Amino acid sequence: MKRGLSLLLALMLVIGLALPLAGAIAEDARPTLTVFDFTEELDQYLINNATTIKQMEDDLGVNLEIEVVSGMSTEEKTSTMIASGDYADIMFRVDERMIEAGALLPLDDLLESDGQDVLAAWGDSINKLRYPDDGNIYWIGSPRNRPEEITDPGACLMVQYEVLDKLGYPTIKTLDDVYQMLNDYLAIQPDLNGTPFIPWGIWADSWGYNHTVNNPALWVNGFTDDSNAYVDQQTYDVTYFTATDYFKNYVSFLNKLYLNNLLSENAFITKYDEFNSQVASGRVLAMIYNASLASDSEAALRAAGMPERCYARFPILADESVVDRSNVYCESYDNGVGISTSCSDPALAMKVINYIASLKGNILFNWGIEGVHYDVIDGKRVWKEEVAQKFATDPNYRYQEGIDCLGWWPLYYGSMKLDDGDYACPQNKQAFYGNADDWTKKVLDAYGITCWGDNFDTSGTPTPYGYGWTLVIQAGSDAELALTKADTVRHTEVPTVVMSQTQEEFDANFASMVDKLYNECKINLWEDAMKQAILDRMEIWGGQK
Amino acid sequence: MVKRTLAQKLWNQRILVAMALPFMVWMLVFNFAPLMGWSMAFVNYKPRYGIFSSEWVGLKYFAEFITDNRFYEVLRNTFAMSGLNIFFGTFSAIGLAVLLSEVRSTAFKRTIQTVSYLPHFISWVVVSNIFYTFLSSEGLFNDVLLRLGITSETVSYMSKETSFWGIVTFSQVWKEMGWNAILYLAAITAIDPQLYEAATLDGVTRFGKIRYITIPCIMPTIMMLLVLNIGNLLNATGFDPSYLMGNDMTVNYSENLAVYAYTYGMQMSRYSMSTALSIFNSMFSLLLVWSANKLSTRFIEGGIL
Repeated sequence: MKRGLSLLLALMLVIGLALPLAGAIAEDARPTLTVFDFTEELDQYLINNATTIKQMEDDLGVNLEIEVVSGMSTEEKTSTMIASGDYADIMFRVDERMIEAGALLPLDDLLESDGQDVLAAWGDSINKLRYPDDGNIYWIGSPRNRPEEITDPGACLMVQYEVLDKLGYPTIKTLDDVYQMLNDYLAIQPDLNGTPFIPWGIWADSWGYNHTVNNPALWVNGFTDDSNAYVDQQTYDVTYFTATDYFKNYVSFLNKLYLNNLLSENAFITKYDEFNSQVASGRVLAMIYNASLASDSEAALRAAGMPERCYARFPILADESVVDRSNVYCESYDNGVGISTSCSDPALAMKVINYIASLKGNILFNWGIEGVHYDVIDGKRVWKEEVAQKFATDPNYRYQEGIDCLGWWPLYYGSMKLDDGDYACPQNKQAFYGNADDWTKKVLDAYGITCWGDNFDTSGTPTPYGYGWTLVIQAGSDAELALTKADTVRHTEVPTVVMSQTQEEFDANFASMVDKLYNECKINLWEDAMKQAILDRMEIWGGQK
Repeated sequence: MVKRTLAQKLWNQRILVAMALPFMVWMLVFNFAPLMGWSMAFVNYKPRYGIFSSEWVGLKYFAEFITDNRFYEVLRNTFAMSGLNIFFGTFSAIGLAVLLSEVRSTAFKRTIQTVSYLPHFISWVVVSNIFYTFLSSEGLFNDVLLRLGITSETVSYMSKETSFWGIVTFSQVWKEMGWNAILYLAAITAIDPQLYEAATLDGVTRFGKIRYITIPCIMPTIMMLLVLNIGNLLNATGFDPSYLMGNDMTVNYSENLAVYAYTYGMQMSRYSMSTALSIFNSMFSLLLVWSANKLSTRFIEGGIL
């Protein structure tokens, strides 16, 4: 009896071991590449089983093992990876730290042999990817070298449809208008079914600080995204933006909101997921934010039957004299996909990248598969109705299918036209109004526009060095350390400034912060390094534009 | 002459030596060889060049944090939080152990013991979220205080830097009290029952027994754990609670050494700086253990270590 049992167990053990092995052998016919994908989008891990990724694997005869690392852990993962030297074959969204660690292969030769589609898509712009220290190309980003229509802006003022509707669609241009609007609405409607509103949305924990506190101050003053830098456009002298009067003025607006109970003190400790759930519950009335970061929460709002709590997008200015440049595109790149030095088959990896950058790949990852996700009607690609529907209501759908969610991949992402003359992305002007829900149409009609992009002027002057936030400061340098310290200081001090009770207190708090920035953090080291980085970049680019 | 005797001695004990040898090798490989990595602190370490080809910078990274004002704030936070944690953690655990040992119903005792050490197994991520939710301005804590009329307006406790040490200590005590009590409880169980019987005959009350028998008998255990804890003073609160419960508004009070090393070392890929900090940490801890051990000889004969 006992013997029979042990025989049975042994047999089960053997079968248990053999089964997965058999599976592995069958799949091993295809070469496997490991992939790391760093992203800020929490749900992107779903792309592992996405339909489009499977399609690419079949077309190329390759297996991709994608590990998605999202949110704050990306920094940590990068450092751990560098420390251990344990890299994936292909790595998406890598930056200069990987280059300095010697983790990436120079791509120039590979591009010549296996990257024709990449070279065709980039043209001369490929030189903008060259690493300043040695002139090599280490990663390929999402190309931005074609004229682009903006259907949905990036940075903008977002206001709930419901608020605009109740107030009879007022014109919102300046921060004063916003303040007035919030007060007027709260006078009519003080809460949402008993839950208090969050009149002004901020989440200032970790990287949300830049999106909801620092950058709004750039937009209202008519700057492009130089992030922490205020750059004098004549001399290219750099000042840490937090220390400027432009920023001070914006903070005084936040102070006004705070003193009038329109801004909660919780805002400064709100985390990303918490903020998303606040937005998705319909409690946040307005905010200056990156619209694409809110799109998942808007889908959740629609799914929950609250389409009136989704957001209209406007440019927003400190006063009428400023010209909005929030969505002016300055072509520059800060990260992309690279091939690691430990890659088993660099040529194959380049073929994968080439596939993504090709016309086929562009259509696949932006539109999906013909007949499954889109149809060609009158020579134009049109999403199937149920696909558009799912996009608007199911936040996870895009990742499950792997469509229109790979903004960091080396493909066109946005409303530009591909070589076949049709749009790269389903979210184009033509399609936007058609795919919009009734509430969106109602609000668009009220403002006499067909898409939110119409509100924005993208023809303003770009900077000759691209976006300041894409500039590279040497990793581990004193300048970088100064910036890290300064970022810590502003994280603690800005809330204190915002929560000042009187004008005198406000001025004193602000002055003490600036004092700390220069005397304790030595931010001037970073300012000098940034100026040098701007000058170096303009030299490499050969004074283009 | 001496050498020969040593060699002879070793030969006589060759079986024992052979048994000890694998562990000595293990020590060398896993405990001493990694110390070579300390040399990373004296170079500007870049992974692509390796330790020995990176640029030599001497004591630059030590000077960096020693001249950094923030570092002293961080040190203050570390000591304060660790001190509070050791103090309240030890006394609450002893208290719980003593109370539990006085309970007569075994079923009740077991239940309480299990329930009280369960939080030990909850991850800090979850604990920090629990506290964030409870203490937020819309949370239960504010709600209760408001309804009882104790406060008139809500307070966002997690964003008050002055309340951080209290909150973090409370959460640590809540999480670890039951777990730490197990050791003391074991020590109490080992006390000779004859002592209690003799005390009963002498008419000593229950409180008297605690005061004169239980506490003195577990004193060596208490002292040993204290000495070990003091050696661990720089690390006692660890990374998780400070990092997870802290936020940008409380960072001046929540950042401890572990978080500091993480922010300015690991996150910025400045491995040399992290290494320099950990050398400081090790040296300082060694000093603390040594002094605590010296100090403990005053209370217990012979010291602990």
